[in-house]
Amino acid sequence: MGKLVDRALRVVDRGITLAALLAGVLLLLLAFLISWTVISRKLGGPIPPAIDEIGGFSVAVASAWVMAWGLKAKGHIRIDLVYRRFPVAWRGVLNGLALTLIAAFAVFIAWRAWSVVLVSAERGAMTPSELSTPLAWPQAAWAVGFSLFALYACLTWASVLFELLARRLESVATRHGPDPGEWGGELLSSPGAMEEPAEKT
Amino acid sequence: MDDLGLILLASFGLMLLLLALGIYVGVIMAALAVFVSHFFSGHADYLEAGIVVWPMMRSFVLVALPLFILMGELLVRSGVTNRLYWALDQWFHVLPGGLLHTNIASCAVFASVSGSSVATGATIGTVALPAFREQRYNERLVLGSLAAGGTLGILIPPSMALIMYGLLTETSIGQLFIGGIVPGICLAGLFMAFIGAAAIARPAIAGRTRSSVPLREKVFALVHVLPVLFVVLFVLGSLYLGFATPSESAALGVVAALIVAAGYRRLNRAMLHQALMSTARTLAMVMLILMGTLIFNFVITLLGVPRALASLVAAAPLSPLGILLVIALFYLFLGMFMESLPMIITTIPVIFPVVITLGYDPVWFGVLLVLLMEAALITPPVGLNLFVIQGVRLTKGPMSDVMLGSLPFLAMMLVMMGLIIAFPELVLWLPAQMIQ
Repeated sequence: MGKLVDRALRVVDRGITLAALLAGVLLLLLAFLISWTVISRKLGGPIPPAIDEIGGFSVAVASAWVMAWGLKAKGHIRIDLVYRRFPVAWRGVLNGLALTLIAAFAVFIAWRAWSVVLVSAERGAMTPSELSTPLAWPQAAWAVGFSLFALYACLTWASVLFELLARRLESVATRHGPDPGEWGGELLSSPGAMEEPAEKT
Repeated sequence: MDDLGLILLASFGLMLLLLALGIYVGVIMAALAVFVSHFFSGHADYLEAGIVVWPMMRSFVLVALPLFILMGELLVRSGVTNRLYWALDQWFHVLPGGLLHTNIASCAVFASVSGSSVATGATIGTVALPAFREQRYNERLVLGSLAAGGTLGILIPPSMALIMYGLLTETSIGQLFIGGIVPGICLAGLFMAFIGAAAIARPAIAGRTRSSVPLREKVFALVHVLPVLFVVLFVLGSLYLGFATPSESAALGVVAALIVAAGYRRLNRAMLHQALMSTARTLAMVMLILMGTLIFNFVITLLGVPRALASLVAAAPLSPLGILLVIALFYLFLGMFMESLPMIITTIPVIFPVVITLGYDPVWFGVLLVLLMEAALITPPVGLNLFVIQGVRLTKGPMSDVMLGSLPFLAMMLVMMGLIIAFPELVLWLPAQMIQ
């Protein structure tokens, strides 16, 4: 059972990393689209329709799609001031608790997001812009992101549960702690950023 | 409201307990929403989470946040900072205090293209510290100037903290950004004034001063400041001239950052991939906390908590200034345990109505709040920028070096807070000149 969970986790793992990359690419494309709009507006060129709507939807969807990656890359903030003073076995249990709660939250928000989609779909709600987008479509993409988050959080939780039951507390304490590791800090994630020495001539 | 005190105390107590256990901050806020719904409101208001979160997440105002994060990530990787530091050094090393001034100036300039204090501290810290290797400087002041200088990231626009404040309080983010400029420059000035005074009083702290470089070379060095100026012009220029909204100026900033990176031949697939994944990570971090707080805020607003608290405080026998000081102390205290962005997001829905009831200007308070966040960033035990500088430090030594070195700069921040309380025009004058 534990092995099955770990295998599923590896597959989903690849999925959520790809989802985060897609979200990033979406943001990059959005930056180009908005820049074009701003410059074109000033120079009197053609302007894409309803940029406010496209921008808002893109960011909502991108935000949902990166949530699972945030969990994997340890982006989500935990305060470790007291935590790090606990003995290692306790830290294992606390990591289990933190994961339980975030998995519960992920399932909850995915559930509530889908209910928003259903309401919009039932009412046939459209956006008031010239695009008249059926509201349920961007909302569904948004809810898919949260569902990925829920799936990844639950699988991680299950895998940790098996480890805890097998009394591998230390492994849970080190692997699932708040220590950001390789993705730590906003800058440490950019090892190539400063490799050139300062140009002192 | 009879339950007001009980709700606030129980929520705050539970929050501290869950924080201590190391639960995710955003999840704690959602858990508080369930707790308050269950025990005080009697019906499950938190089930409206989807309806509450969607409109905020899809608002065009929020677009500024991920795009400014992305812009910063691209610039950090573009190789612009080494040259920037070197160029500014040509101008500042002649002052008493030498390279320490370069630290502050580089931080201030980099802050004008970065919305994050952590990124500013880490970026300039990484570039600056090797320059001190062969020179005799007081190490504590070197580390302190970088930790404190880095905090300018959230005061000088763009600023992630001001975006979240503007979003949650419906204050104009453009005005907030422009309002941060003068205090940002003043604070950098105060930092430098302290360094200068300290170096004159005790010349030993700043090693020897090198001889001046000919003016021609100095002017020539400024070429390396141009890329940053180019991005600033795109972002703040478009904003100030009413050419673009903050979200639009962020998009222009991303394109400008790509141009700069391409100009330095740093734009490639690996670099872009890293920047995007790192942006995704930071975006997730902010969004989880934002979602939890929105749900919590929705529940307590239905119960009338923020309004009740505001009228209670307004009726209190303290002067508005007295209450403001209490709020400031609250933030300084909370800042010892929490990081700046989570602190702003989680507390503003409750604190803001109080401040507005007292008659303070929303833009002015936003800037004051950011100054308080900056102080939080260098106050132990959880001053994020202290850890950042300790993390990029080249020499071995205790964390207390960074803390002690930051103390004089912390004092300058308190002076700056006093100045903007005494002279609100420092914040409000420049936004009033903006072209709408």
